[in-house]
Amino acid sequence: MKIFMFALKENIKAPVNLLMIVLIPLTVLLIPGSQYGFPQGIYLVGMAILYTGFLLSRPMVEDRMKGMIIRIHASPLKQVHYLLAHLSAYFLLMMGQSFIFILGAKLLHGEATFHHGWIYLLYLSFGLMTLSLTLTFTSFFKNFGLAFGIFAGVGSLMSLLGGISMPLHMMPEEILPWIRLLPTYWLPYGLNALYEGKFFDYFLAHGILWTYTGIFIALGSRRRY
Amino acid sequence: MKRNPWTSSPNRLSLLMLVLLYGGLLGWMMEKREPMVFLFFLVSIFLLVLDWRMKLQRGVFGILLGMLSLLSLWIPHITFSLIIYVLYSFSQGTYLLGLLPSVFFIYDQQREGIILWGIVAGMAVLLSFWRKDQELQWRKEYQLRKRLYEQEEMETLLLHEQKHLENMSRLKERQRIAEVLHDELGHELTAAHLSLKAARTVAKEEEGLLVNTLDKSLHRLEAGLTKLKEAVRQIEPTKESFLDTVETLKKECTYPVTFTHEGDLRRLEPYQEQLVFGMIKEGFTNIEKHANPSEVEIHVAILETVLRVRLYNDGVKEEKSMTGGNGLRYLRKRLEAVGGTVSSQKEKGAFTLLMVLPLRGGNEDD
Repeated sequence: MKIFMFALKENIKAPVNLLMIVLIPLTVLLIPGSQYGFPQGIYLVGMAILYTGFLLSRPMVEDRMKGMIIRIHASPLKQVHYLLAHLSAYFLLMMGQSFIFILGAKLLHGEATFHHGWIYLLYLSFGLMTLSLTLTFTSFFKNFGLAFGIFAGVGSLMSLLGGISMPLHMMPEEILPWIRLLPTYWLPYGLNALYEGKFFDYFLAHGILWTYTGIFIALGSRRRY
Repeated sequence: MKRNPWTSSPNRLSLLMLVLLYGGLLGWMMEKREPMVFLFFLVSIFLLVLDWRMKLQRGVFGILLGMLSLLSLWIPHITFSLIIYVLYSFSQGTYLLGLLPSVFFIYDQQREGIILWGIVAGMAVLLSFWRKDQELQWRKEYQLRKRLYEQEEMETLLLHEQKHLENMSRLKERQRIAEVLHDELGHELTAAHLSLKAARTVAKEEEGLLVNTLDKSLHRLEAGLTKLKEAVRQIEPTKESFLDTVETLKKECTYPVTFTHEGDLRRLEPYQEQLVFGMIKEGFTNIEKHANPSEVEIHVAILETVLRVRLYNDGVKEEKSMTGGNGLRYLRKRLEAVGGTVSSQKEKGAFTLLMVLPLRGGNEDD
């Protein structure tokens, strides 16, 4: 519980951090509606979640970079415990962020958005996947700045190709089968399925996001000093 | 010595085959465009990564594999991904586990599918043979490394032992020389001194030359005896207080130590003291390694003919195998060389080390 509280405090003690993860991304909700699905802002929230996940995981990455992880592993603390405490703390913050997004969407778009609870759940699954993706991604770097710089590019490309920043119906037909490999594809896929009332596909998107989460956690939880 | 990272190994080859198979599966999956197929494609990756990271028990892995194989009856599109498990299980040497997805895979396949299964399964089995052979080689290599390490350790111990024996021999030899000088030469000289003194008493004062010569002889003999006593003192091994040394040893131990003794400690010869200290040190080392005691007791008893040292400690840790270490073995050999013994007893979480050493002569030595 101490590690959990520490990870939580590390992220909320800086007001700039809160501003970055909550207020600024809220502006994406202002993007108007679309005739093919939910308002584009609902999809763009995925991009905000993607970057938020990266920003939130900073303490864990810094632990690794400063060599703190060696001391932690030398202590009687289990790695699973350390990981779980950190990920839960970040996930809790993401739950709050997603809740604010949903509340904002309901207030701003009114009737244009529905199934708010289901959208919220999809955001949570996507947030979890983002955290685990960050865990794997940062394990290849020893400098947070460099990791963030590269992730900024990779993340925007993934969002663009995955249908978060550009609607899926605008994608060329040829690349559609291939972009399914991107984990970011499954958020707009799930949202579209929800819009069309296809709940089977909606839950399938959840399943795929969780499987990605499992893969990334298994890969990213390797000890790298 | 580092291994060459570029040598081929069954692990690398099976990884390459898995990647190739996944590539083929991906191409096939892209044609199908079924999200469900993609989900099971991901699930297969997840399962293999999980097994690699967590080293799942074969039973758990088998149950998961069985569930996936059964699911393929309801979702035919996922049957194709079963070939991944065939390759993985066979290449890991778990043939029974590999048979399960094999049956479900072959069940619904045309001729081409069966040929593919044959190729994949055949190569995987060959890989598993190679892996087993490599493991055997590694085990042999490990045994050789272990033996080498043990020999190096033995060499260090023997060198240490040799130094100890040299030290002990030197002490004994110095003691013997001191005794010879004191008991034999000293006695003879004292006798001569007394005889000369007697001669000096009976010699008449008029016999001036004789008296003078006797006085000179007496004087030189007295000087010689003084020098002899000094030499005996210097040759005799310096005897630090036994209790002081025990106190120093107690400070080295991180647990509370109680020391008691009975009998006259002065009867111990230096080399015997060295043996007692060696035994106490060895006992402390063993306690640090194998116990977490609340009390450690040392009792030294100087009996009429034997010296008995008992080292007792509680809080012995539960260990699967507790074989006698090298330290104890060498201590035993050291003691046997001077007619002593050492024995140990482990009972209800307590450990007792008992050393018995014969003392020379009993009370007559006093």
